[in-house]
Amino acid sequence: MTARFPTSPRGMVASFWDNRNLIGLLVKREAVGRYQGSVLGLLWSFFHPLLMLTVYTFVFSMVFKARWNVGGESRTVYALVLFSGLMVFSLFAECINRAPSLILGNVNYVKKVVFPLEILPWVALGSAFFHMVVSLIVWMGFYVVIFGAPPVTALLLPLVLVPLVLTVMGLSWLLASLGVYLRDVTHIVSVVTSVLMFLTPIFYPLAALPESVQPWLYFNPLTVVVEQTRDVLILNKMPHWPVWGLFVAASFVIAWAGFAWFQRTRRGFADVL
Amino acid sequence: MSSDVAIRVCDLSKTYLTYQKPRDRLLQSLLRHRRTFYREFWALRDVSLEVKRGEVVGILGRNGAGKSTLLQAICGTLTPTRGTVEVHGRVSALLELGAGFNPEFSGRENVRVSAAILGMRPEEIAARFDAIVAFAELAEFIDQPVKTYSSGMYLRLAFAVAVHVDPEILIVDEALAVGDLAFRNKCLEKIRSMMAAGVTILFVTHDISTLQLLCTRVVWLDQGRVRAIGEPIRVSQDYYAELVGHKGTPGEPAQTMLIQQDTGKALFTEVRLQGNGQLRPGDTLSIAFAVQAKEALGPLVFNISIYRADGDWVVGQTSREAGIYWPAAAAGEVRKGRIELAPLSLAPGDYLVAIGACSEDYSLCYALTDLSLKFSVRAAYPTWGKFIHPIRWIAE
Repeated sequence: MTARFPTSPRGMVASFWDNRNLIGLLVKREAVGRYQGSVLGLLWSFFHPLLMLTVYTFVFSMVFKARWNVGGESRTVYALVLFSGLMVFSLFAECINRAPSLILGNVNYVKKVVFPLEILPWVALGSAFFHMVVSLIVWMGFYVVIFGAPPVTALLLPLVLVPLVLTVMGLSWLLASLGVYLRDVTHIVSVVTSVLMFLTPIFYPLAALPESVQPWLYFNPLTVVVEQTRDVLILNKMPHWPVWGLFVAASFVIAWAGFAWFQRTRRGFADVL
Repeated sequence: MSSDVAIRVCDLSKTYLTYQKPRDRLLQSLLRHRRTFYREFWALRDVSLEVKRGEVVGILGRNGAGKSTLLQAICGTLTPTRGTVEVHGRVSALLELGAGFNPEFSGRENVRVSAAILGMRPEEIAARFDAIVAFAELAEFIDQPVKTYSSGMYLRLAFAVAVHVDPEILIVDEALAVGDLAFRNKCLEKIRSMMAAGVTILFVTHDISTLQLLCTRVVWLDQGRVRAIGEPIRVSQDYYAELVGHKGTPGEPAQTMLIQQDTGKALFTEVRLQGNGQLRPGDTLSIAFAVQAKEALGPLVFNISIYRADGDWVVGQTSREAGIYWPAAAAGEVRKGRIELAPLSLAPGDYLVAIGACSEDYSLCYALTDLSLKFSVRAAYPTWGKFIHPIRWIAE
């Protein structure tokens, strides 16, 4: 019986691979299903980022006249820079905010059907990822209209996101399990993500902070990803590979630890739901 | 380990630990046995069961007997407290009506997802989709959200998916109860064809007739323990007899002790059931009786009442209707007789008998036994209703 829920890193990868069809189906259902029954359908998913980006551009270039401190840029760049960081953060925040209620919201999957519960965070991630891709398309559209072709390094974005994805998964597994036992987790998480939004260099470049404060921001796992995203999307800079490698390794450990925690504690789910 | 075993359950126990707060459950897993935060409830105790490949096993029991818990443990949605469960083969489980369904989505979507949950690949699902919809008879509604479905439609769709994923083991929990007769027949036909194909089937139902018809074996669970495992008709009739309110243990020898009230007029000195009290429909139930007058009595009539063990009065007849009277008796005199019910036409169950002696015009009761005489009826074939009435069937 003990071998039923593997906790090894291999088990983590195998669970994803074995259930890839189901994950794909559920992601599709969730991403597209959100707009089920509405007249505009999938167009709504484009509408939101489009509107937000327009508003940001207006507010920050016309109202606040904000600048990114990189000198000599056009006013619209602030909104695009801001939005690129925000896309990354939204991916993180959407997953993390949903994590504590993933199991709670699917009691049937725990008690009534034989279901690989550990894939639920993957499904949430997939759906958040879908929204990020939509935002990215909108962002690219703006970029092309204003600046022309984006830098080649933009193709590296998927690699830059690898550590983020792994960290999100690890935290999601942990929070999904904790959320079952401690209902407070949902509230704690929403407070933390709101605060984190301002402790991540989204609205400002890291360099804008006093040098004494800068190292502290590296404790925030999002800092590196946000900075590197801007590097590849806008600044035509290669990511700092050693940092990236270290980060991938660390986030893999986080993912595995979260997975192991989830698998160890899931036996109790049915008892308290 | 032989390969023809599909399910092996060994000394399975499940304790539900009821926690005051969910967080106590987490503390318990972290602190292990250093403190207890729970109260125990044993849903299953030391259940052992071996199901061979191709067997059809029915599970009987009252509400709360542990039937669903057993099925959940076999499916793996529940972690047993003690004991082991081995399952060999691809399982398709219908634990609750459309539990994997999302009410907001269309039938089509839900079929895809629940088939994928049951382990089917997308191309397999596509290949079988039409057969599933046809079986469920929902072609017109398949693109409607399932929240608009009736419970019968829900069941049809859920059942259709569960049986079309080519399971090696099918587990069904009380699902057949909601369908109409036509769909039930369809399900039974499908189950029969799956049986013929060698699928192992395990199901819970309160419908004893289905059980008697389909199963190769029946498990009777009572308060988390296995009360009996065996031949479907015998086990389900024993279960039924107890369900309707039997107080003693089934199969105990017929009671001969006389409990009666003293009327001052007469007393039964003997009421005896011939044989061991285990009868089959069509047998002769024979009861010998003797009553002794305590004072001078006029001509006597006797009566018999038979109650089913749940208190339902099924027979109440006197010798008066048949025109049989016993002559008047002086004080101390004994009047004897015999009652024969032949052929015995009562449906399987446990019964209690009372016999009375009355005055000729039935206005005075001279003596009356309590319901102290017991007998049981068991049939070798499935039966329904309360009586096996003598009936002639004429084919034309």
